[in-house]
Amino acid sequence: MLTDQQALRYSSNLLIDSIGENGQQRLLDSQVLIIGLGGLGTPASQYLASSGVGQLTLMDHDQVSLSNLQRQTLYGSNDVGSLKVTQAAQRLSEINPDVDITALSQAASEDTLRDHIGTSDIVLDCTDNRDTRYLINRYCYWLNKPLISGAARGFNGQVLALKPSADHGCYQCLYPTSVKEPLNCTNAGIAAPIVGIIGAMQALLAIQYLTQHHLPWGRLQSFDGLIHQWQQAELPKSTTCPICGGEHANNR
Amino acid sequence: MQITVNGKPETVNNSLRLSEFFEHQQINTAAIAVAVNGVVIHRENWHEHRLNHNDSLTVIQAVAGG
Ligand SMILES: [Zn+2]
Repeated sequence: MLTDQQALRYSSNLLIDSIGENGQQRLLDSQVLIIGLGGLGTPASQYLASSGVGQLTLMDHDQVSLSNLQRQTLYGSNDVGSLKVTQAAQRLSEINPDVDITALSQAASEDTLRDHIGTSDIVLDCTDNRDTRYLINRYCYWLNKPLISGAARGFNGQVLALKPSADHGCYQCLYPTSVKEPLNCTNAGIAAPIVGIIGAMQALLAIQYLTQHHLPWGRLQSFDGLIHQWQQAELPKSTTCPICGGEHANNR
Repeated sequence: MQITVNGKPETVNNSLRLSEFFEHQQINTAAIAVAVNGVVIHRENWHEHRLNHNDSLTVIQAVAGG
């Protein structure tokens, strides 16, 4: 049962038929793990907190730097030098005190992922490097946990929803480890609204999943912000993928 | 035959393989994913996948930042 305060706070969710009171209750009963509280993780976490996702776990080992402020709008100038997860947790509790926030100032590693993916309903990959992305993909597949992967660079953004029990491919099917990206966010730059768009898409997909809607599982959505076009591509399993292909396919 | 690449029409040799197409167009494949008619073709199949008339290619640059 929602309290009177909750009925007011979430009235715009309650008015949508496809969320409603049942959907809102599901959001309040859900736990989401957000890995990376940078350009993608900050907008994603704001929308999930304001929408009333009951438990948010934030994982990031990094501190706020001056150059983050161009796109990581959850932080202010006074936060420079502080831990991102501590500042983010404080801001998100101000946005919505209903949300139970766990701030983990740890890097994504085999140990931290094993501990925290299992207890979450869904995982958001908001990290900034490919090695961590492979690790998160691997653990979500091992632990059979849905994963919403977002990424951005320059004027380009991409989002991909993965369901390990489905027969589409995984992150490593899309970008095998032989793929070498010459530039990342630090040395290639990023237009701030692009991470806002992709982070908001990740939050949208998570809300849709938690309120039991169908997701475009295994479909890469890629946005070119210079020409304002989305491209879509279905991702089949690669038979040679060490994570989900061949003998590893749905093998849990 | 005619194909489109990210929406732009191109004329290419009949039955061109995907790997030959990239070579021919001098596309740097180090950090791309490619879809033909909306379905990703895995890297290990590029050398055998033959393009057809009216195929629609989507070349997507890999990005990993956040
Ligand atoms: Zn795979």
